[in-house]
Amino acid sequence: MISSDVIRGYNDTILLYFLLEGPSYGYEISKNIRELSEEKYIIKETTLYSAFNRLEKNGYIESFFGNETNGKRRTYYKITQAGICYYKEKCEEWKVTKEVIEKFIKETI
Amino acid sequence: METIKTYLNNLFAGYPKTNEILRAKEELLSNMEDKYNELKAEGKSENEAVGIVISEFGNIDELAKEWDIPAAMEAKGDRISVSRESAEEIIAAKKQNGIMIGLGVVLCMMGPALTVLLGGILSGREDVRLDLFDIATYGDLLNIIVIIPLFICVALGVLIFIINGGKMERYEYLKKNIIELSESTREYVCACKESYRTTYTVTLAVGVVLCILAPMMLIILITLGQESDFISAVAVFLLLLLIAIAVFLFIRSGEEMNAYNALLQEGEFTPVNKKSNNIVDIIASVYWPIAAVIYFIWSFTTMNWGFTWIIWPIAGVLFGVIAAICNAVSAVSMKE
Repeated sequence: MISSDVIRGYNDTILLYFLLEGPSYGYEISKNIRELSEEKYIIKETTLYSAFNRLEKNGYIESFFGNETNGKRRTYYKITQAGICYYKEKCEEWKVTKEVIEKFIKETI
Repeated sequence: METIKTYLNNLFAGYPKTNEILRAKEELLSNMEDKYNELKAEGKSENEAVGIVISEFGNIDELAKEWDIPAAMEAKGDRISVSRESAEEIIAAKKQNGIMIGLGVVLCMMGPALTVLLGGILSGREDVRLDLFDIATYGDLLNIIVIIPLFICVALGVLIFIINGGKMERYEYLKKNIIELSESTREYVCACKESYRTTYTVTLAVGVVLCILAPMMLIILITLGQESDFISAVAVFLLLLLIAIAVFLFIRSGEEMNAYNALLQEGEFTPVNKKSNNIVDIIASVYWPIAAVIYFIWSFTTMNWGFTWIIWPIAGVLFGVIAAICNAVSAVSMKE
Protein backbone atom coordinates (compact mmCIF):
# COMPACT_ATOMS: atom_id res chain seq x y z
CA MET A 1 0.00 0.00 0.00
CA ILE A 2 1.26 3.46 -0.94
CA SER A 3 0.86 6.19 1.66
CA SER A 4 -1.43 8.98 0.54
CA ASP A 5 1.18 11.61 1.48
CA VAL A 6 3.60 10.43 -1.18
CA ILE A 7 1.09 10.29 -3.99
CA ARG A 8 -0.85 13.47 -3.13
CA GLY A 9 0.61 15.63 -5.90
CA TYR A 10 -0.32 13.06 -8.52
CA ASN A 11 -3.96 12.25 -7.75
CA ASP A 12 -4.92 14.86 -10.36
CA THR A 13 -2.79 13.12 -12.97
CA ILE A 14 -4.34 9.75 -12.14
CA LEU A 15 -7.91 11.06 -12.39
CA LEU A 16 -7.24 12.90 -15.65
CA TYR A 17 -5.65 9.75 -17.09
CA PHE A 18 -8.95 7.89 -16.74
CA LEU A 19 -11.05 10.84 -17.91
CA LEU A 20 -8.95 11.02 -21.11
CA GLU A 21 -10.61 7.69 -22.02
CA GLY A 22 -14.08 9.24 -21.64
CA PRO A 23 -16.53 10.56 -19.02
CA SER A 24 -16.67 8.62 -15.76
CA TYR A 25 -17.94 8.82 -12.19
CA GLY A 26 -16.48 8.49 -8.70
CA TYR A 27 -16.76 4.82 -7.94
CA GLU A 28 -15.75 3.69 -11.42
CA ILE A 29 -12.53 5.71 -11.24
CA SER A 30 -11.78 4.55 -7.72
CA LYS A 31 -12.23 0.93 -8.86
CA ASN A 32 -10.04 1.48 -11.93
CA ILE A 33 -7.26 2.95 -9.79
CA ARG A 34 -7.35 -0.07 -7.51
CA GLU A 35 -7.22 -2.48 -10.46
CA LEU A 36 -4.55 -0.69 -12.48
CA SER A 37 -2.33 -0.24 -9.41
CA GLU A 38 -2.81 -3.94 -8.60
CA GLU A 39 -4.38 -2.99 -5.25
CA LYS A 40 -1.25 -1.07 -4.24
CA TYR A 41 -3.10 2.24 -4.23
CA ILE A 42 -6.62 2.51 -2.86
CA ILE A 43 -7.82 6.12 -3.05
CA LYS A 44 -9.86 7.38 -0.08
CA GLU A 45 -13.36 8.73 -0.78
CA THR A 46 -12.51 12.17 0.61
CA THR A 47 -9.28 12.38 -1.41
CA LEU A 48 -11.17 11.45 -4.58
CA TYR A 49 -13.93 13.97 -4.00
CA SER A 50 -11.60 16.79 -3.04
CA ALA A 51 -9.47 16.13 -6.17
CA PHE A 52 -12.57 16.21 -8.42
CA ASN A 53 -13.72 19.37 -6.72
CA ARG A 54 -10.39 21.13 -7.17
CA LEU A 55 -10.04 20.03 -10.80
CA GLU A 56 -13.54 21.31 -11.52
CA LYS A 57 -12.91 24.66 -9.82
CA ASN A 58 -9.78 25.07 -11.95
CA GLY A 59 -11.75 24.29 -15.10
CA TYR A 60 -9.85 21.10 -15.92
CA ILE A 61 -12.98 18.96 -15.75
CA GLU A 62 -16.73 19.49 -15.99
CA SER A 63 -19.45 17.65 -14.14
CA PHE A 64 -22.90 16.62 -15.34
CA PHE A 65 -25.67 14.31 -14.18
CA GLY A 66 -25.86 10.98 -15.94
CA ASN A 67 -29.11 9.21 -16.82
CA GLU A 68 -29.16 6.06 -14.75
CA THR A 69 -31.78 3.44 -15.43
CA ASN A 70 -32.20 2.49 -11.77
CA GLY A 71 -33.24 6.02 -10.84
CA LYS A 72 -30.03 6.96 -9.03
CA ARG A 73 -28.64 10.37 -9.91
CA ARG A 74 -24.91 10.10 -10.48
CA THR A 75 -22.39 12.88 -11.09
CA TYR A 76 -20.21 12.24 -14.12
CA TYR A 77 -17.03 14.10 -14.96
CA LYS A 78 -15.48 14.85 -18.32
CA ILE A 79 -12.11 16.36 -19.16
CA THR A 80 -11.87 19.81 -20.78
CA GLN A 81 -9.29 21.15 -23.26
CA ALA A 82 -7.56 22.94 -20.35
CA GLY A 83 -7.53 19.62 -18.50
CA ILE A 84 -5.74 17.90 -21.39
CA CYS A 85 -3.04 20.61 -21.38
CA TYR A 86 -2.73 20.34 -17.61
CA TYR A 87 -2.37 16.56 -17.89
CA LYS A 88 0.47 16.98 -20.41
CA GLU A 89 2.23 19.43 -18.09
CA LYS A 90 1.89 17.04 -15.16
CA CYS A 91 3.39 14.21 -17.28
CA GLU A 92 6.40 16.39 -18.16
CA GLU A 93 6.74 17.39 -14.52
CA TRP A 94 6.70 13.75 -13.44
CA LYS A 95 9.45 12.81 -15.89
CA VAL A 96 11.73 15.45 -14.37
CA THR A 97 10.71 14.54 -10.82
CA LYS A 98 11.39 10.87 -11.47
CA GLU A 99 14.83 11.64 -12.97
CA VAL A 100 15.77 13.79 -9.98
CA ILE A 101 14.57 11.42 -7.27
CA GLU A 102 16.15 8.46 -9.06
CA LYS A 103 19.54 10.11 -8.52
CA PHE A 104 19.05 9.82 -4.76
CA ILE A 105 17.92 6.21 -4.73
CA LYS A 106 20.50 3.53 -3.99
CA GLU A 107 19.76 0.03 -5.18
CA THR A 108 21.80 -1.49 -2.32
CA ILE A 109 23.07 -0.04 0.90
CA MET B 1 -26.19 0.60 4.20
CA GLU B 2 -28.05 2.40 7.02
CA THR B 3 -24.83 2.29 9.07
CA ILE B 4 -22.99 4.11 6.29
CA LYS B 5 -25.71 6.76 6.02
CA THR B 6 -25.65 7.30 9.78
CA TYR B 7 -21.85 7.52 9.71
CA LEU B 8 -21.96 10.23 7.02
CA ASN B 9 -24.79 12.10 8.76
CA ASN B 10 -22.79 12.22 11.98
CA LEU B 11 -19.67 13.42 10.18
CA PHE B 12 -21.60 16.20 8.43
CA ALA B 13 -23.69 17.17 11.45
CA GLY B 14 -21.23 19.86 12.50
CA TYR B 15 -21.18 21.63 9.15
CA PRO B 16 -23.67 24.15 7.84
CA LYS B 17 -25.94 22.87 5.08
CA THR B 18 -24.69 24.93 2.17
CA ASN B 19 -25.19 23.72 -1.39
CA GLU B 20 -21.49 22.96 -1.71
CA ILE B 21 -21.42 20.80 1.39
CA LEU B 22 -24.67 19.01 0.61
CA ARG B 23 -23.35 18.20 -2.84
CA ALA B 24 -20.19 16.73 -1.34
CA LYS B 25 -22.24 14.62 1.04
CA GLU B 26 -24.51 13.38 -1.73
CA GLU B 27 -21.63 12.39 -3.95
CA LEU B 28 -19.67 10.71 -1.18
CA LEU B 29 -22.77 8.72 -0.26
CA SER B 30 -23.32 7.74 -3.89
CA ASN B 31 -19.72 6.49 -4.23
CA MET B 32 -19.87 4.64 -0.93
CA GLU B 33 -23.16 3.06 -1.96
CA ASP B 34 -21.62 1.83 -5.23
CA LYS B 35 -18.69 0.35 -3.36
CA TYR B 36 -20.96 -1.26 -0.77
CA ASN B 37 -23.21 -2.81 -3.43
CA GLU B 38 -20.25 -4.26 -5.28
CA LEU B 39 -18.73 -5.72 -2.11
CA LYS B 40 -22.08 -7.31 -1.27
CA ALA B 41 -22.32 -8.69 -4.81
CA GLU B 42 -18.88 -10.25 -4.33
CA GLY B 43 -20.37 -12.15 -1.41
CA LYS B 44 -19.07 -10.07 1.52
CA SER B 45 -21.20 -9.97 4.66
CA GLU B 46 -22.99 -6.80 5.72
CA ASN B 47 -20.42 -6.14 8.46
CA GLU B 48 -17.44 -6.75 6.22
CA ALA B 49 -18.83 -4.53 3.46
CA VAL B 50 -19.62 -1.67 5.85
CA GLY B 51 -16.21 -2.06 7.52
CA ILE B 52 -14.33 -1.81 4.22
CA VAL B 53 -16.36 1.15 2.97
CA ILE B 54 -15.84 3.11 6.18
CA SER B 55 -12.13 2.26 6.45
CA GLU B 56 -11.65 3.62 2.94
CA PHE B 57 -13.57 6.82 3.60
CA GLY B 58 -10.60 9.01 4.49
CA ASN B 59 -10.70 12.20 6.52
CA ILE B 60 -13.38 14.86 6.34
CA ASP B 61 -10.90 17.62 7.26
CA GLU B 62 -9.42 17.12 3.82
CA LEU B 63 -12.71 18.42 2.36
CA ALA B 64 -13.51 20.92 5.10
CA LYS B 65 -10.43 23.02 4.43
CA GLU B 66 -11.72 23.74 0.93
CA TRP B 67 -15.20 24.68 2.08
CA ASP B 68 -16.22 28.25 2.43
CA ILE B 69 -17.59 27.95 5.96
CA PRO B 70 -19.27 31.26 6.96
CA ALA B 71 -16.99 33.82 8.58
CA ALA B 72 -14.16 31.95 10.22
CA MET B 73 -16.27 29.34 11.90
CA GLU B 74 -14.83 26.14 13.08
CA ALA B 75 -16.80 22.94 13.31
CA LYS B 76 -16.13 20.32 15.94
CA GLY B 77 -18.80 17.66 15.87
CA ASP B 78 -22.06 19.46 16.56
CA ARG B 79 -20.32 22.38 18.28
CA ILE B 80 -19.57 25.58 16.41
CA SER B 81 -17.46 28.35 17.84
CA VAL B 82 -18.46 31.84 16.74
CA SER B 83 -15.96 34.69 16.67
CA ARG B 84 -16.68 38.29 17.63
CA GLU B 85 -16.86 39.31 13.94
CA SER B 86 -19.27 36.49 13.13
CA ALA B 87 -21.41 37.41 16.12
CA GLU B 88 -21.66 41.01 14.88
CA GLU B 89 -22.44 39.74 11.39
CA ILE B 90 -25.19 37.45 12.73
CA ILE B 91 -26.77 40.24 14.77
CA ALA B 92 -26.77 42.61 11.78
CA ALA B 93 -28.21 39.93 9.50
CA LYS B 94 -30.94 39.04 12.01
CA LYS B 95 -31.93 42.70 12.43
CA GLN B 96 -32.27 43.04 8.69
CA ASN B 97 -34.11 39.73 8.52
CA GLY B 98 -36.63 41.04 11.05
CA ILE B 99 -37.35 44.07 8.89
CA MET B 100 -37.67 42.01 5.71
CA ILE B 101 -39.89 39.27 7.20
CA GLY B 102 -41.93 41.98 8.93
CA LEU B 103 -42.42 43.76 5.59
CA GLY B 104 -43.36 40.47 3.92
CA VAL B 105 -45.99 39.76 6.57
CA VAL B 106 -47.32 43.32 6.38
CA LEU B 107 -47.68 42.92 2.60
CA CYS B 108 -49.46 39.58 3.06
CA MET B 109 -51.89 41.21 5.49
CA MET B 110 -52.38 44.39 3.47
CA GLY B 111 -53.38 42.29 0.43
CA PRO B 112 -56.67 41.11 1.98
CA ALA B 113 -57.06 44.48 3.72
CA LEU B 114 -56.95 46.33 0.40
CA THR B 115 -59.35 43.80 -1.11
CA VAL B 116 -61.83 44.46 1.68
CA LEU B 117 -61.41 48.22 1.31
CA LEU B 118 -61.75 48.16 -2.45
CA GLY B 119 -64.76 45.86 -2.19
CA GLY B 120 -66.35 48.31 0.25
CA ILE B 121 -65.67 51.30 -1.97
CA LEU B 122 -66.92 49.61 -5.14
CA SER B 123 -70.03 47.96 -3.74
CA GLY B 124 -71.01 50.77 -1.42
CA ARG B 125 -71.92 53.13 -4.22
CA GLU B 126 -74.78 54.67 -2.29
CA ASP B 127 -72.29 55.93 0.27
CA VAL B 128 -69.61 57.05 -2.13
CA ARG B 129 -71.34 58.95 -4.85
CA LEU B 130 -68.60 58.95 -7.42
CA ASP B 131 -69.23 58.18 -11.09
CA LEU B 132 -65.76 56.67 -11.22
CA PHE B 133 -67.04 53.63 -9.38
CA ASP B 134 -69.92 52.90 -11.72
CA ILE B 135 -68.04 49.79 -12.81
CA ALA B 136 -69.66 48.15 -9.82
CA THR B 137 -72.62 47.35 -12.05
CA TYR B 138 -70.42 44.76 -13.74
CA GLY B 139 -70.45 42.13 -11.01
CA ASP B 140 -67.77 39.80 -12.43
CA LEU B 141 -65.42 42.61 -13.28
CA LEU B 142 -65.80 43.87 -9.72
CA ASN B 143 -64.75 40.52 -8.30
CA ILE B 144 -61.62 40.53 -10.44
CA ILE B 145 -60.64 44.11 -9.68
CA VAL B 146 -61.07 43.49 -5.98
CA ILE B 147 -58.61 40.59 -5.86
CA ILE B 148 -55.86 42.26 -7.92
CA PRO B 149 -54.27 44.10 -4.95
CA LEU B 150 -54.49 40.87 -2.94
CA PHE B 151 -52.41 38.95 -5.44
CA ILE B 152 -49.90 41.76 -6.02
CA CYS B 153 -49.28 42.23 -2.29
CA VAL B 154 -49.08 38.52 -1.51
CA ALA B 155 -46.78 37.92 -4.49
CA LEU B 156 -44.43 40.70 -3.30
CA GLY B 157 -44.56 39.34 0.24
CA VAL B 158 -43.73 35.82 -0.89
CA LEU B 159 -40.92 37.17 -3.08
CA ILE B 160 -39.41 38.86 -0.03
CA PHE B 161 -39.75 35.63 1.99
CA ILE B 162 -37.98 33.58 -0.67
CA ILE B 163 -35.10 36.03 -1.22
CA ASN B 164 -34.68 36.43 2.50
CA GLY B 165 -34.92 32.72 3.22
CA GLY B 166 -32.03 32.14 0.84
CA LYS B 167 -29.93 34.74 2.64
CA MET B 168 -30.62 33.35 6.08
CA GLU B 169 -29.90 29.74 5.11
CA ARG B 170 -26.26 30.09 6.12
CA TYR B 171 -27.27 30.83 9.70
CA GLU B 172 -29.37 27.66 10.01
CA TYR B 173 -26.76 26.16 12.32
CA LEU B 174 -27.77 28.64 15.02
CA LYS B 175 -30.96 26.66 15.41
CA LYS B 176 -29.33 23.24 15.41
CA ASN B 177 -25.78 23.35 16.70
CA ILE B 178 -24.32 24.10 20.08
CA ILE B 179 -22.75 27.56 19.93
CA GLU B 180 -19.47 28.33 21.65
CA LEU B 181 -18.45 31.93 22.34
CA SER B 182 -15.23 33.24 23.77
CA GLU B 183 -15.54 35.05 27.11
CA SER B 184 -15.18 38.53 25.56
CA THR B 185 -17.66 37.77 22.77
CA ARG B 186 -20.17 36.47 25.30
CA GLU B 187 -19.81 39.68 27.33
CA TYR B 188 -20.29 41.76 24.19
CA VAL B 189 -23.49 39.91 23.19
CA CYS B 190 -24.79 40.09 26.77
CA ALA B 191 -24.23 43.85 26.80
CA CYS B 192 -26.04 44.23 23.45
CA LYS B 193 -28.95 42.20 24.79
CA GLU B 194 -29.17 44.19 28.01
CA SER B 195 -29.14 47.52 26.20
CA TYR B 196 -31.85 46.29 23.85
CA ARG B 197 -34.12 44.93 26.56
CA THR B 198 -35.95 48.24 27.30
CA THR B 199 -36.58 49.02 23.63
CA TYR B 200 -37.77 45.44 23.20
CA THR B 201 -40.26 45.65 26.07
CA VAL B 202 -41.59 49.02 24.90
CA THR B 203 -41.95 47.76 21.31
CA LEU B 204 -43.85 44.68 22.46
CA ALA B 205 -46.10 46.80 24.68
CA VAL B 206 -46.92 49.15 21.78
CA GLY B 207 -47.71 46.09 19.64
CA VAL B 208 -50.02 44.64 22.28
CA VAL B 209 -51.81 47.98 22.75
CA LEU B 210 -52.36 48.17 18.97
CA CYS B 211 -53.78 44.64 18.99
CA ILE B 212 -56.25 45.59 21.74
CA LEU B 213 -57.21 48.93 20.19
CA ALA B 214 -57.77 47.44 16.72
CA PRO B 215 -60.91 45.38 17.45
CA MET B 216 -62.25 48.12 19.73
CA MET B 217 -61.98 50.58 16.88
CA LEU B 218 -63.67 48.05 14.59
CA ILE B 219 -66.64 47.66 16.93
CA ILE B 220 -66.98 51.43 17.44
CA LEU B 221 -66.78 52.23 13.72
CA ILE B 222 -69.26 49.53 12.75
CA THR B 223 -71.69 50.66 15.44
CA LEU B 224 -71.41 54.30 14.38
CA GLY B 225 -71.53 53.37 10.70
CA GLN B 226 -75.05 51.89 11.03
CA GLU B 227 -74.40 48.82 8.87
CA SER B 228 -72.97 50.78 5.99
CA ASP B 229 -70.87 48.45 3.79
CA PHE B 230 -68.40 51.21 3.09
CA ILE B 231 -67.73 52.07 6.73
CA SER B 232 -67.49 48.37 7.65
CA ALA B 233 -64.92 47.89 4.91
CA VAL B 234 -62.89 50.87 6.12
CA ALA B 235 -63.12 49.53 9.67
CA VAL B 236 -61.85 46.08 8.65
CA PHE B 237 -59.09 47.74 6.63
CA LEU B 238 -57.99 49.80 9.63
CA LEU B 239 -58.17 46.73 11.85
CA LEU B 240 -55.83 44.82 9.58
CA LEU B 241 -53.57 47.85 9.19
CA LEU B 242 -53.16 48.25 12.96
CA ILE B 243 -52.58 44.52 13.42
CA ALA B 244 -50.08 44.53 10.56
CA ILE B 245 -48.14 47.34 12.28
CA ALA B 246 -48.24 45.38 15.54
CA VAL B 247 -47.05 42.20 13.83
CA PHE B 248 -44.23 44.14 12.17
CA LEU B 249 -43.13 45.42 15.58
CA PHE B 250 -43.29 41.91 17.05
CA ILE B 251 -41.24 40.37 14.25
CA ARG B 252 -38.70 43.17 14.00
CA SER B 253 -37.95 43.22 17.72
CA GLY B 254 -38.36 39.46 18.10
CA GLU B 255 -35.72 38.75 15.47
CA GLU B 256 -33.19 41.03 17.14
CA MET B 257 -33.88 39.37 20.50
CA ASN B 258 -33.61 35.98 18.77
CA ALA B 259 -30.14 36.87 17.51
CA TYR B 260 -28.93 37.53 21.08
CA ASN B 261 -30.70 34.48 22.46
CA ALA B 262 -29.37 32.26 19.69
CA LEU B 263 -25.79 33.35 20.35
CA LEU B 264 -26.15 33.08 24.13
CA GLN B 265 -28.25 29.89 23.82
CA GLU B 266 -31.01 31.29 25.97
CA GLY B 267 -34.80 31.26 25.64
CA GLU B 268 -35.95 29.02 22.82
CA PHE B 269 -32.34 28.32 21.82
CA THR B 270 -31.25 26.17 24.75
CA PRO B 271 -29.93 22.80 23.57
CA VAL B 272 -33.17 21.13 24.77
CA ASN B 273 -35.37 23.50 22.79
CA LYS B 274 -33.23 23.12 19.68
CA LYS B 275 -34.29 19.47 19.53
CA SER B 276 -37.99 20.31 19.71
CA ASN B 277 -37.59 23.17 17.22
CA ASN B 278 -36.51 20.58 14.69
CA ILE B 279 -39.82 18.78 15.21
CA VAL B 280 -41.75 22.05 14.91
CA ASP B 281 -39.86 22.82 11.69
CA ILE B 282 -40.92 19.49 10.22
CA ILE B 283 -44.56 20.06 11.21
CA ALA B 284 -44.42 23.61 9.80
CA SER B 285 -43.18 22.35 6.44
CA VAL B 286 -46.39 20.31 6.06
CA TYR B 287 -48.78 22.58 7.95
CA TRP B 288 -48.39 25.83 6.00
CA PRO B 289 -48.65 24.36 2.48
CA ILE B 290 -51.85 22.58 3.58
CA ALA B 291 -53.21 25.87 4.97
CA ALA B 292 -52.38 27.57 1.66
CA VAL B 293 -54.12 24.83 -0.34
CA ILE B 294 -57.25 25.06 1.83
CA TYR B 295 -57.18 28.87 1.48
CA PHE B 296 -57.03 28.77 -2.31
CA ILE B 297 -59.60 26.00 -2.74
CA TRP B 298 -62.00 27.75 -0.40
CA SER B 299 -61.43 31.17 -1.97
CA PHE B 300 -61.72 30.04 -5.57
CA THR B 301 -64.83 27.93 -4.99
CA THR B 302 -66.66 30.65 -3.05
CA MET B 303 -64.91 33.67 -4.63
CA ASN B 304 -65.41 35.24 -1.23
CA TRP B 305 -61.87 36.72 -1.03
CA GLY B 306 -63.06 39.39 1.36
CA PHE B 307 -63.68 36.77 4.03
CA THR B 308 -61.45 33.74 3.41
CA TRP B 309 -58.31 35.51 4.69
CA ILE B 310 -59.69 34.69 8.16
CA ILE B 311 -57.96 31.32 7.68
CA TRP B 312 -54.54 32.93 8.28
CA PRO B 313 -55.03 34.35 11.77
CA ILE B 314 -56.76 31.07 12.75
CA ALA B 315 -53.96 28.97 11.27
CA GLY B 316 -51.38 31.19 13.00
CA VAL B 317 -52.93 30.79 16.43
CA LEU B 318 -53.42 27.05 15.90
CA PHE B 319 -49.79 26.71 14.87
CA GLY B 320 -48.71 28.49 18.04
CA VAL B 321 -50.69 25.92 20.03
CA ILE B 322 -49.12 23.00 18.12
CA ALA B 323 -45.60 24.41 18.60
CA ALA B 324 -46.22 24.91 22.31
CA ILE B 325 -47.44 21.32 22.68
CA CYS B 326 -44.39 19.99 20.79
CA ASN B 327 -42.05 21.98 23.02
CA ALA B 328 -43.80 20.80 26.17
CA VAL B 329 -43.76 17.15 25.05
CA SER B 330 -40.08 17.18 24.11
CA ALA B 331 -39.14 19.02 27.32
CA VAL B 332 -40.86 16.28 29.29
CA SER B 333 -39.23 13.49 27.27
CA MET B 334 -35.79 15.12 27.65
CA LYS B 335 -36.18 15.18 31.43
CA GLU B 336 -36.97 11.47 31.43
